Amino acid sequence: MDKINQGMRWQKMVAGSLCGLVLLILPSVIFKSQYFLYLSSLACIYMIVSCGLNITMGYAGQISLAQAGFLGIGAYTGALLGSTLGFWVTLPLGGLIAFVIGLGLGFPSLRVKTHFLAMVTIGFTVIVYLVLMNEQQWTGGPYGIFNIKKPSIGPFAFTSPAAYHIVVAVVTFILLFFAFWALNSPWGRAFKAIRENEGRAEMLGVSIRNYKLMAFAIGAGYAGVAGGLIGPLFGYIDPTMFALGFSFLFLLMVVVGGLGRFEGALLGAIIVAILPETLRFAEQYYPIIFALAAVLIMIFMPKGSVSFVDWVYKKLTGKEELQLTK
Amino acid sequence: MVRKIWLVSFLAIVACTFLLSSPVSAQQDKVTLAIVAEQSGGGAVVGERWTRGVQMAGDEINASGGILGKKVEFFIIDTKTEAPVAVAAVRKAIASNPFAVMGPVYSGSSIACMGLLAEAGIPQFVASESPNIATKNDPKNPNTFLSSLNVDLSVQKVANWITDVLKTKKMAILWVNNEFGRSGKDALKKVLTPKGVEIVIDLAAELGQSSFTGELARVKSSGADTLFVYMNEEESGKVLPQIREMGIDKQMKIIGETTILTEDTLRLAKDAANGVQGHVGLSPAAAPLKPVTDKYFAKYKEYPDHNFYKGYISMYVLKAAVEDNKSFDQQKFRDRMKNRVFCRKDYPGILMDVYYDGKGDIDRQTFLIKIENQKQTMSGILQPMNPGNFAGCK
Amino acid sequence: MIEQLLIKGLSLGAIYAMIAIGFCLLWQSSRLVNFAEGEFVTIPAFLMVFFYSVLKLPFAPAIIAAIIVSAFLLGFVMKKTLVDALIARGNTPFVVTTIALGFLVRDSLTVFATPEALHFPSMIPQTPLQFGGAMFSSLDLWNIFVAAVVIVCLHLFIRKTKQGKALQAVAQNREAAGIMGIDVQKMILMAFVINAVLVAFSASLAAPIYMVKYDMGNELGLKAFYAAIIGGFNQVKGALLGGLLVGLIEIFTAAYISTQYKSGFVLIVLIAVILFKPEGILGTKEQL
Repeated sequence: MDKINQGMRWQKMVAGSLCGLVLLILPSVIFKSQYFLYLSSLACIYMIVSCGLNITMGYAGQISLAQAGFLGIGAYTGALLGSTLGFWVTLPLGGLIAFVIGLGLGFPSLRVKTHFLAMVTIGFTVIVYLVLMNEQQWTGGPYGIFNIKKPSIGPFAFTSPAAYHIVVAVVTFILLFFAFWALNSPWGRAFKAIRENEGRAEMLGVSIRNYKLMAFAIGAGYAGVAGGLIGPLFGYIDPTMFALGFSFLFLLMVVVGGLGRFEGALLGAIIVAILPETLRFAEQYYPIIFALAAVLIMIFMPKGSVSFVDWVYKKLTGKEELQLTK
Repeated sequence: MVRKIWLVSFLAIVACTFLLSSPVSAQQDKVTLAIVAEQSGGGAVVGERWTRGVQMAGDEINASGGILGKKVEFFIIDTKTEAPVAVAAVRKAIASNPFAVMGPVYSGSSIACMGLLAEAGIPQFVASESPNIATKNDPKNPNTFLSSLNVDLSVQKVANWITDVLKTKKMAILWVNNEFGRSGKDALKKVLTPKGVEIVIDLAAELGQSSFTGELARVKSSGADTLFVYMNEEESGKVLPQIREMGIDKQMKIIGETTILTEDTLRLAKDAANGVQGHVGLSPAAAPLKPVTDKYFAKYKEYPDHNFYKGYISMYVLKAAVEDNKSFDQQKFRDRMKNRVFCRKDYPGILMDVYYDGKGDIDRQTFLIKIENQKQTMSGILQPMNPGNFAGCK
Repeated sequence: MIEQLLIKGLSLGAIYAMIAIGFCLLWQSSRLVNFAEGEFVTIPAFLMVFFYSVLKLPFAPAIIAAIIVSAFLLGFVMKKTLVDALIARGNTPFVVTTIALGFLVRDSLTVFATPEALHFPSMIPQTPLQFGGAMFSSLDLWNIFVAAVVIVCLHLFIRKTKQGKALQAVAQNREAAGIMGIDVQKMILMAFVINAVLVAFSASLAAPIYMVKYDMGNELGLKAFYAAIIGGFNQVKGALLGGLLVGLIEIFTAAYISTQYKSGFVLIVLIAVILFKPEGILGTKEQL
């Protein structure tokens, strides 16, 4: 019985992930306008950040405002080393550097209270920003870095927006798949145990601190990789793209989507990247609407806007919540 | 599971249809221009002035028959004063295929998106004064055009005034830590040091900084005879009262470039701005600009800043170049904008003779301004860098 | 030069301290951290401009009206809506909500009021003063004086009145205070109202220096937060010390260490405090 279930699960997983991959790449095929392609790539990059931050925040309950800083670390790693090492090396390298810094930052500060961690991470983002701004001889300072090349494999260069979106989509897919797999592994289930009852989880032998540290560092690493994708997308980076305000935005992105739900974080990323387009009639008011929605969601819909999707799904199928992670 | 897939696909299709239901298509009897500028965020004020300038000129042009018989039509896209949003905004603008893009104002945003426009072959006028724009243009085929002198050129012009008229020996610089302040500080150091002016101290201020005590204490004890303030309007407006409070204005001359002399700075600094001197490209105090200044004042009940004039004049430069070509061909437009002088006597709308070099940079007369009784007053005119280029305008 | 920096640092620190004390009172009574505290300063500042420049009220009534309205909005309304809805779910949802609230305030002000910085006169005439080598203005002494009066009054209120003692009891142990018959909800409401009055006072002091602008609260809120943590989150005197320290560090760093990294230096102090003495310099350990 167990074996059959296992087989079914594998089939489902393969079908589901193929479906996801196709959806992520789809924009390269259907969109001709480079603006829509740009939006799609941006949505993918936000999904990576949001997915990582969701592990930190939604699963491990840590408020992190360091995401913009890690994004900056990834982006500058790619921009400064990309010409010598190549995109395919710097992309994971940026993630790795962010991951290691995340471990270093998280290790001492996870023992303090949640809002203190928020403060340490704010400090981190501000310091990264100051270094990027002031160490002009290395980072270009406020002038930023120009002409960041899009990647290539052998003779084929992903220079067109459509081709580059494929790169972004595939990287996004790999990272999301890994997160999905990890959250469904025994390791991920320990997270849920912690989230539900910290004291009991500890009694069952889960080392809470190590798990939280891991969650924080994974969130950092994801932001680092996302940063590496930003440089080639814009062809240009400067420190203002990694200022503290973006950390707050990423945090709200996860919250509006659905804290602690895998698909919620993705929904949040899509809302932030694409919804301003559909609300074009209210462009000026969009930030207000978004912030207001975030406040109301926190009060009335603590599970985020993904619970609205659940509701639709339930109406359509009569089944329970559409929940990808069990 | 199958149902799940259906549901996800359904949602994706909904999202796509939302996205595809888009852009504006150009009409035959109209020429479309995109204003990509700061409508919100930290640059909202200057972005709005630039937009007003472009639109005021556009309305005037339409009232007098348009460009080559075509009415000018604008659509505005907000950059939210963020470089990435500016890049997105320009991509959005390109989708509607405008003849040219007007803006943005901020240097970071301008530089971030100029490459995209060069690729798309759509000319761009920016309000930025960054010296980096001309160097980022394709040297053979510049696509992005400034609307006032870049910082390097301004500083070269003002250097003689600093050494000969002010007789500065030791200078302190207070600069705001962004693209604008840093390029100004770098240019000042580069130009003034060989002329025998010692830069005794240069101090960075943060964007939006409020208390300058620490910095000013250092300026005060630096032994400088001149303080050059290279900051945006808001920081300038905050620092001037503190300069006066610490008695620094009695110890040294306070000078600056453009931003410290604008109405926005005066509004915040009040009488603490009195006595400040400096150099501006375009200002309400400049006599040749008076007709437009009055028109602006009548409409908005305030004095414009330099960004308004930049937008206004750029529209008329665009009109002049297109009408010379007798066509809306964008490549011909770029060619026409190379090494070209536009004279006020031929094109009254441009207000002052202006020369475009082969790289997108600009040259023209500029003004020395002094603040008296919280008003800008013109105290002198600086001739263009290369007066020879303007020979045809006599 | 030193006395110059000292006076200016204290004058700035006085403003931070008042906001930081607000933070502490909220934390003590409700165990909540308000990430929109900076915007709580912006709102009364805009109210003052509204009453003074738009409604053309005389100066003093304009300020008093702003304080009353802000006590109602940021104290009473805030408690009855957001706090009551979220307090049962702990601190984290409240932190996130107030971050969103901060965005909401800033974006609304830029769209519905103005994105420009506005000049606002100070409460007393700005006359230059000289003391030794220090040149400063009457405003600096006024800042220190107002902050001192407000803080002394608050201290007397907490130590001497029945209400204040009840607040102290809640701060020490909410459950026990509840059992003893203290109306905990009322105490939380009181803390929010006091906080609203404190930020309104600090807004009146900050407006002439910071100018009234939609994002003026960003820096003020962060600095006050640093101050509260450095001094000690659960002690009013800690927040006072923290506020003054942050003001002094800011100015001395710019004068002696680095202007480019001045906002980084106070953060290094902050991170050191969090790592080595998380309860703050004057704070006491608390069980949570």
